[in-house]
Amino acid sequence: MNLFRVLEISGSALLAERMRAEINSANLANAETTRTDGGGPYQKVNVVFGARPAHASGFGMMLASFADLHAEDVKVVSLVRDATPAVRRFEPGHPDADGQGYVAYPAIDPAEEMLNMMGAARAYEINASAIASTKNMIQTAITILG
Amino acid sequence: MSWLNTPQLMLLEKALDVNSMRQTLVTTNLANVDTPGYHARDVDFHGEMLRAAMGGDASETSPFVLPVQGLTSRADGNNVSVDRESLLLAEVQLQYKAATSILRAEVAQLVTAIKEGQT
Amino acid sequence: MNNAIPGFSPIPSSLNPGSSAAPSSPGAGANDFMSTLQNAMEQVGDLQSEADSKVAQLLTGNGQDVHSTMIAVQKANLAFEMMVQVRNKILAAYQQVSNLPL
Repeated sequence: MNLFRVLEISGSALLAERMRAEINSANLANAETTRTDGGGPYQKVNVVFGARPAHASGFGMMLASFADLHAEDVKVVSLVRDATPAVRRFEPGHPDADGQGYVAYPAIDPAEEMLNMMGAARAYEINASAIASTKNMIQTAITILG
Repeated sequence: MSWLNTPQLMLLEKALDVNSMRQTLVTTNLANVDTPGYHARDVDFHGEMLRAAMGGDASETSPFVLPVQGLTSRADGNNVSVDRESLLLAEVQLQYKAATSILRAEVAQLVTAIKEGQT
Repeated sequence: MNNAIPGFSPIPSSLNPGSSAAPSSPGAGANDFMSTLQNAMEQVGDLQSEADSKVAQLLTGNGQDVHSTMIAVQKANLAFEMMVQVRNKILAAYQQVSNLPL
């Protein structure tokens, strides 16, 4: 219940959402990449979020607030390479065309990635305003002493 | 020490406790707005304050955390409503401010009462 | 306990309950004053240590609420004020009594 701890939770969200935005913009930038170092087209990366329950890090903290057990951080649990097979387009003149004249493109929908980025931006904003609100509360509490 | 622990003061402290807890939950809900399967939680603010106002002894227990009713889940199982949480953020902050102001007034009153016979 | 209270000047020895120089003229009234003062001092001691421990917990990041800490410190302050006033009243009363023509 310590409000400083609450700031950490919002902070973790900012971190996670920013990472998500970065991954999405990498996906977007590589929507047409037909050739990568590992061979083959770029594979979209999916971001998976997970709530990380706050664990009691010490005996003292365990007693201090049972409420801390409900304060769950968020973090990026894993980055998963999308398994969707590449989209094949018929482009015989393309340098990366295979024997039949098909080029393998990443299975990335730019509209979907844009939506994801907007979602990440919106979540980032709302968590930033949560930080401002918590900071305000801490300052209010301090005024108790005058 | 009963002159210090007036019912008003204890109720105000309880209000600050519950709002502080609520801020934790709202913040956690907002932080997890994109976490698959996450369900929003809250406390029964009204119920907690009523409990504290009536049976003073309950003030020692932590507020109960409950899942929020009436929310719709999205495809990934997450049911956090950004609108609801943003509204709560404002409400909690104001409640906290109000309780703090009244607390300060109570303290000022006590100071006056203590010093009133000062020669 | 006296040394633990910051900024608190020592009580004049004439008011010290254990001192043999305690005036006998106020009589039974002095004992009531003494016990009131002693109670006030104990309150201050208890509240001060509670406030101190909460502040320590807050500062070391041990999950203490900001508002509970502030309230605890404020209560310790109030109890301290009360004690100072009680002491002043006792002093004033003693002076009044000791100025009575015999």
